[in-house]
Amino acid sequence: MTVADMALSVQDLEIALVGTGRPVPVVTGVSLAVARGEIVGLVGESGSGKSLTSLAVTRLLDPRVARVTAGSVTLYGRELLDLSEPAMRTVRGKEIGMIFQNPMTSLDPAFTAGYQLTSVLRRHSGLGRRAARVRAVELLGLVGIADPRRRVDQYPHQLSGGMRQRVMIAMAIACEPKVLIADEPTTALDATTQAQILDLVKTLAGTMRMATIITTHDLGVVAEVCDRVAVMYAGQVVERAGTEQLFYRPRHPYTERLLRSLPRVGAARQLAGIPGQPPRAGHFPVGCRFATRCGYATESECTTAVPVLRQLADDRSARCVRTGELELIGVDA
Amino acid sequence: MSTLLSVRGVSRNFVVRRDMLGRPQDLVHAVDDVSFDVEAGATLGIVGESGSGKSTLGRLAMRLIEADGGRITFAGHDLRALPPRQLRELRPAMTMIFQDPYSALDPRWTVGRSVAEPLRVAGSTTAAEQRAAVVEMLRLVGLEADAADRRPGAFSGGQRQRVVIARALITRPRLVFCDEPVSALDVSTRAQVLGLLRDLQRDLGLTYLFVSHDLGIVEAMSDRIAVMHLGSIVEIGPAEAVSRRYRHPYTASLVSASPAPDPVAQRARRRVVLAGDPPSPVDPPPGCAFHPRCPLAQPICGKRKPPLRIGPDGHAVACHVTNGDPGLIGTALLSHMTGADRLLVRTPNVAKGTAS
Repeated sequence: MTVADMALSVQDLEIALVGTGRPVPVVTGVSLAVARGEIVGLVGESGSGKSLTSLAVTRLLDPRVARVTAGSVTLYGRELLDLSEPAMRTVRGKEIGMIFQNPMTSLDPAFTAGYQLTSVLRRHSGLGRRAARVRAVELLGLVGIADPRRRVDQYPHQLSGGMRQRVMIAMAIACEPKVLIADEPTTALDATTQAQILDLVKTLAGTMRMATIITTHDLGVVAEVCDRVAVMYAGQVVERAGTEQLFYRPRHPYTERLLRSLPRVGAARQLAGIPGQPPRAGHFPVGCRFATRCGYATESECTTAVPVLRQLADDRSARCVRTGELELIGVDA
Repeated sequence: MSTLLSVRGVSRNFVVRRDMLGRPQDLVHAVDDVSFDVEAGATLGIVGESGSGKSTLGRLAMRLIEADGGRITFAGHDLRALPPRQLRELRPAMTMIFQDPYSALDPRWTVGRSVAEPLRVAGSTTAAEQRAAVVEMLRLVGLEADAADRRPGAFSGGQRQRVVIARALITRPRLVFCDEPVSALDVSTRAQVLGLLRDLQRDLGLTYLFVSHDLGIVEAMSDRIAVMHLGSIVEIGPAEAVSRRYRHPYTASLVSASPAPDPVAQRARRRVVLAGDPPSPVDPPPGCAFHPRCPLAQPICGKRKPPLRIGPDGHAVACHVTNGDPGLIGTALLSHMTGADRLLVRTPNVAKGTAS
């Protein structure tokens, strides 16, 4: 597939933290693409740059904190980074829907669920008041809220955490966007509620044929819903692969170690962490950014040259100079 | 092994609303008639979702908050009957590790001062002894001795949690209440800290009360597991039995909701999708509190609260239905709950509203 076929394509994105003093590069060379109807996971630990990347795609970076310094973000071939703010506001909500981690802080506590939903609909779809309300009730039903006619007039505090996240999803999909960006959509939820919300996102992405990006720190979420994955570490994509390939045959040492850090119910296995800490922005090492924590790193190859994200067979890639010689172990199928 | 902590019939209500005369109107039954034992040197894991009362239960067991009723025995002492002075003397023997290492440490204090604080409070040690103990403790949790002179701001989340652990262990306690000790940490750091807790338990002979919402983590850490739902233990037993031969429908739904790092298994498995939202702890449903969401609920479940019935291997379950049918266990229970023939899986009504 070429870039133009992709619903959303991010090319060589670079983000720098700004503030006092010189800008500090925090995300470098992030490239990923999502096709129509596909769910791509952007996985990483805190500080890896995954949330900054998803904010940059929607142009929601706080300019006082972080700025895109290079790269391109295209929506069906149209460059988003050059759009004026008013034009971008139309794109957000109408063409790109967004779901955030904490539905309590993303919904306005002073307005009913229905009011917040109808304002989205009236702004972007040009519906009248009545029509927007009818559509709001319909949308609440669509996202699996029981008794939507009653719930539409309730305030966020009257809704459970799971219901609030459903309202957020209803707002995100209200205008049938082409792209859905979900930033840690289930992190604030309990396990049984998380399972419901993931089911919903997966079903909606499928039926509405949305190109979906889910950022998460949880590889379990990826295993559940994603078609493809990009793993981020210290501001870079270190591995890209289909979900099954990534889990059963990782090609980057960081992915391997991350998989071994996960507990699995009923498997009673020893958890192995990753020694040390990820490097902080502004203190990225010269060579491979994972080298200091990597059991496979060699002095000569890994600490001097910056590895590139190398294309491998099976439409996957890894940012590791030794990937060809390593027998990395995935999870047992 | 001997029992270090024994909890019998402990309850605690919180008043959430009073009328104009100050009389309690709404009560949350945070913990309702709960009993369990913890063996010395072992770990009891308590798993449950938010609002299940698992943290309250841990605090009650150490008398950090007062119970409304029941009996708690710790190392031979009747904890609830203990006068304040004797309770204070016992405090160094039972300590706590908090969830959030960012808020659990005073940012203005050096790490050394924070870690030494419990010794200062307990008295009976000199400043020199305290310093030596801090250095030794920091070494045990894998931090350099010079960490003592730095402030929390200089450390990452995982390192801060090591400091919190050092502070909890400096008095050489027998019982440590770990309240979601890794929830605020990243995945790779999580496994490091869990490994450390395990090593320290072995080396120092610690007994853990380990609370988490994550069944996978609880299983990795525990000898026995208690599953809490809305203030009650619905299932308790050896870790392996609860996580593999679970007999309560709520445990089954937790197991099926725990994400497995295995895409094929994850997508192939049938998952229990619970109908509706968790019930309110203020106005819990009558009978079994899980019955409104339980795919196996019978008429009796809405009338009578099922007792926790103990099996031969110490595996106890509070369920009218599965206690009456020994075949409903583990994956058999799970597939019974998701049985396609019975159309129990409720999915969001996507087809009805058109997303044209």
